[in-house]
Amino acid sequence: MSNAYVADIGAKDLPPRSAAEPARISEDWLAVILGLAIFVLALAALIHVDLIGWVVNTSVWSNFSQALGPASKGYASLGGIGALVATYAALTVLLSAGAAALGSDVKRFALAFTAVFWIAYASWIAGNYANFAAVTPADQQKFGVSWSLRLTNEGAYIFALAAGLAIANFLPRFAEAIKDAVRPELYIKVAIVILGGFFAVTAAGKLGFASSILLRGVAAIVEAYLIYWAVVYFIARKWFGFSREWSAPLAAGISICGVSASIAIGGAIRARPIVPALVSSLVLVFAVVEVLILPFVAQTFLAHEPLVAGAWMGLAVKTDGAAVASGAITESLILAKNAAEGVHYQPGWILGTAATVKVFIDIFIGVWAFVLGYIWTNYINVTPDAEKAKLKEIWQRFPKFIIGFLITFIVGLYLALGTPADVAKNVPAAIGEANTFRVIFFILTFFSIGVLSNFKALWQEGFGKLAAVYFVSLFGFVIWVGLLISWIFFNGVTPPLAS
Amino acid sequence: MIHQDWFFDEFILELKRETAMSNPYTQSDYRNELRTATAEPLLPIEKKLIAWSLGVGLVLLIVLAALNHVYSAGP
Repeated sequence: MSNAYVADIGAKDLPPRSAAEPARISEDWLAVILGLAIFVLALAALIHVDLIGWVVNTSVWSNFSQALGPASKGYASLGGIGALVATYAALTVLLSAGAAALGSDVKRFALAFTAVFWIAYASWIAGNYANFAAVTPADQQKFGVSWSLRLTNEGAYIFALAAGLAIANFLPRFAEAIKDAVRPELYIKVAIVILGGFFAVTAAGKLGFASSILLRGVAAIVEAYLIYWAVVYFIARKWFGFSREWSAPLAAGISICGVSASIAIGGAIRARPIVPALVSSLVLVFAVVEVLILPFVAQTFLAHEPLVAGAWMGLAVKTDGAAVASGAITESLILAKNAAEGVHYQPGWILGTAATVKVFIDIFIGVWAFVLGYIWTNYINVTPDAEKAKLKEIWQRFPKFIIGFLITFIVGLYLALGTPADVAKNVPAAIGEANTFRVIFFILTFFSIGVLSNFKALWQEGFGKLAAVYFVSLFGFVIWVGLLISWIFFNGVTPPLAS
Repeated sequence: MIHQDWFFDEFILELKRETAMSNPYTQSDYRNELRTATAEPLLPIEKKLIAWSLGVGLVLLIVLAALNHVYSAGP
């Protein structure tokens, strides 16, 4: 998704109409295919065929030789650099094929992806340096460092985001040159498909508890839709004097799920396409601000309410990429803080809660768009030639990548619980290899979000009034109501302890 | 994200092309539109939508919170 393009709508530098072929597949379905392909390849380990064990894994390091290594010991001979090069080559081939299916220029994509991958991964490696990532005094001693920011291994996502932000704001020409491979939504959707299998393994041991998290997640998002949207719409209409055409997509963008919701609602109420497009350009900028602030606020104030923190990220941070990524950072920060106090929670639950809330929000966008579309086309904007809202629009707006998430979740759960013990015992390791790819897609997501966040370009547009309503609603209402709702449904619920 | 983001890219690109070719409504026009728009009063249906959405939301909040309290499950 290329919100940044919105910032400079104009005549110059447009690729000719013939530069790209028509897309043969939607980005959602492509994400399902890519995510499932990685998942299936990983499962080959269950029959003792390790197909993706060469994928590179990064550890906290003080000596560079400690930093990189293949995910599987079976590929130890590759070494860290070999694993990194193999991972780059495989992803370039895989994603270039995807770019071809999307109708993009493959050569331009591959070149741009090369820059995206190496810069993003280099920033990830830097963020894993012991002075940034080591958590406990024992870790500091192990790595021979006297201090650490204690950002943890996954705190290094912030470094990828910062690298992207630096490029967007200080090297705009370079940002423009690599934009073909700056696709945060594709990367996060692939990651979410893979994440389904990882959650299944996490949930398998605590199925009752996992079900309860799902139900709480549904309850939380029903509240978010009904309360958030109405209040933000009222603020936009009454306090800021926006028209109905601007207010509905704006309220959806601020209150529900950023870009996706504003475009879905804009389409549903038959707004001019430019309206949700301009709203979308605001979403990423504010999402970046949230990613940089909220996980640290959560670590400071919600370390003893980990799942409240996870749900809060899902409810408060807009766009799938930023929300799920915030959940990952929040998890690492809170687990680290608790570990320092001698409490060791199982990893996966905080991230799982954030992603669950976000996925449910995505599922209901189509339903909410239909409700608003029905009201608009029948009562507000009634014109003889306007097409009425139809039920099939719910399916058209359904986020198809969630189907991939459900498939990996169900298959992962079956493998963990429904297969003989000698097979089931290998499932965590097999899905763990796929999960290493998930981490890499997260890194690419963070970096891409940064590259799309050109604060200066947005400011120059002069849409201060849009930004003002966004700021007032998000920081004055949405974040705090999200916290309250998260607290109501998740307080006192803590993840299982690590065995 | 429109859940078909390839479409979003194409949609923005097409928007740029159309703007470039026919230039019916420039960036500054949108800025002016936002700055100078006269307030549209809330229609009764909008008030109803806001009131029902908030009302149902608050009632559900109480009901779901109560259910959550009664049937809460720990790890």
